[in-house]
Amino acid sequence: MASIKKYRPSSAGLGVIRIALILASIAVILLSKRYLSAYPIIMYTVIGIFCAAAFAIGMILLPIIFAKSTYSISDEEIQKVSGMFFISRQFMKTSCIQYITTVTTPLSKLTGLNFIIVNALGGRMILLFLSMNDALEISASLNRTIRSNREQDS
Amino acid sequence: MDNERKRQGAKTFLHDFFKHRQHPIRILGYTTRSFWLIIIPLTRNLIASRYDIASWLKGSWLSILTLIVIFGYAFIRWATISYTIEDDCLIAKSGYFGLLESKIYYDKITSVSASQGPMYRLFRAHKLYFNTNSGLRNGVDITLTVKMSDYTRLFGIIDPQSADSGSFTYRPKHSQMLIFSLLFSSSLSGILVWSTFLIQGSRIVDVQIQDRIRSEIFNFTERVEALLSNIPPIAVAVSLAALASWAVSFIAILMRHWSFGAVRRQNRIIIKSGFITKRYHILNRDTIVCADMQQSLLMRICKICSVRIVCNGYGKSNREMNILVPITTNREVACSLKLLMPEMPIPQITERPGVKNIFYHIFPPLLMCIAIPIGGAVALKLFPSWSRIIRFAMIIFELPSVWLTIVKLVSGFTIGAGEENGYLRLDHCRLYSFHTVIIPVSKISKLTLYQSVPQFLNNRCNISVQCSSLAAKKYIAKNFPMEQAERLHGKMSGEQSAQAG
Repeated sequence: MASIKKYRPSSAGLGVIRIALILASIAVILLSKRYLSAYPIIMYTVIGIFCAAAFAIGMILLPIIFAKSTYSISDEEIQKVSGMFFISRQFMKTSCIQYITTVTTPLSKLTGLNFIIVNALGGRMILLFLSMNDALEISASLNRTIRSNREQDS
Repeated sequence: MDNERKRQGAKTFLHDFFKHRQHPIRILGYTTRSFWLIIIPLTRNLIASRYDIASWLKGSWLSILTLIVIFGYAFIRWATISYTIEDDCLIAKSGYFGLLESKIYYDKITSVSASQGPMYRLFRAHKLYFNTNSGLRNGVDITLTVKMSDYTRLFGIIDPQSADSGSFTYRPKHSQMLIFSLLFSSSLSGILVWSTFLIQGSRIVDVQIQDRIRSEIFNFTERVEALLSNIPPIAVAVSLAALASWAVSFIAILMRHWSFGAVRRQNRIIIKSGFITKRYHILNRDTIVCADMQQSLLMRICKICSVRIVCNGYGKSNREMNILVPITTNREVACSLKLLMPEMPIPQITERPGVKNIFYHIFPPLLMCIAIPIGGAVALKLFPSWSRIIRFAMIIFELPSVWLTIVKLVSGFTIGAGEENGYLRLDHCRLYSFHTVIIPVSKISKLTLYQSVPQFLNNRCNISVQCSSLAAKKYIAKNFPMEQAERLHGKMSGEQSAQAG
């Protein structure tokens, strides 16, 4: 039986997005205070809406998305489960894979901003926010699969 | 001793650094094209200051700083993008600051295209485009500008030329290329080339020169208008613009496909073309989705056609055409195709919709032919002072409609389909051109038989074929009797299950 390995998005990635949201909120507050202070109602509405949205995204939506996302990789298939309330499942046969693109950002060991783009016949699948080790492991394993498929074909 | 080791270390580092980087000419490509706008006045200022560097720096420090930022950014982009040529794959760090690391195995590549313009030729550099059957419809998977040594090595791996690898060459005559350019140059593509030239040129050339060109064109139009005083000026202007853009398109196509040659070597097709910019394509024959023999009405009368192939990546960039045989006679097309694609037969047509329902094909253009004079007459009543322009517009729109009606009328006699040895042939008409498409049944991803209301009443249908490639379009042959379409579908299903078995 083929072994299936499961991966989850890195929690460090969630932390980075939260920090980005906090920084964006601070920027909105400062800009609103600078340019909208003459209209206090509009200023407080803008600040309120933005902070509430940032809180909802950072504390409720993203944790749900991160918790529900899984990537399962076997020799035959890649399965991506994602979504928030409506879960979507994507399946891709490893025999269809043309090549792999690995995206690693600076300091990605700490930030978890590593992505893998699986380019297959007619489409692509993106595996988001992986830890550095997971990204390297997936990339190596998929490249191994492509190579063994090539050898079988030839 | 220590210094010697340090020097050796630095030498090795630099050697490794440059070995995996693109050709330095690429730095120019990463700058914004508008940087000429800064360089020209800067040079002018330097000359005006009689090469007094101090006063020049004082006067133009902001422009110099901007230039440094532009080149600094371009240099960083160049330095962060790297590639490694392995024996079985290419590893490339591309995208902004080399964030995307891709590993492409050579046998997954559908096409590799190389282009070398005069500037690149001077610096012995090549621009390479790598394509696979994945990703986005119009995107190239990897683009690299490489040195001559890497180009030779890469192409040596992808297209090895051993002594026992026989090759078959097809090379059209120059006269054939002239006919091809004449037939396939259009005003629209001319306008595209012309506008690209003007937009790029306007960034470099002085505004005064542009104004002068504009006034020259205007004067010329006025002179011609005086000569042909009975024709409305707008008609003269439109005709001149169309003629000029057609000429530009003709020259562009001729230059792009001059000295065209196609070679079949093992499972590859190598295509060379270009006069000023040399282009070289290596196509993986296993990934060619279909061959498409195209004809316009004029070509059909002269019994000549042009053969295109659909292979992901080929004919995608720089308004290039995906040609395999630029121009050939109907009699020679089978020989040319057999030379380059020996496994691909030209199946006989077994199913023909016939001329019984020919009205279905000509109805939409015929409606246009009738609607235009009626619309024109109404417009003449409403705006009598605009009569000359309206009459001219009527002629302009009526001519293509009549032409389309004739084309569709002919298509009623030529549409057909057939299947032979696992290859489907679909003869159909798209707008003004006739197409004979040959597709391996194994490469068909979707076959649809669909009916409109009149077709439902007549028990007829359209056949739509979709291929398993990003590069292929949908091919639609119209108005087949339902039993013929189902028979064809049955044959193809049988062939597919036999192949699977």
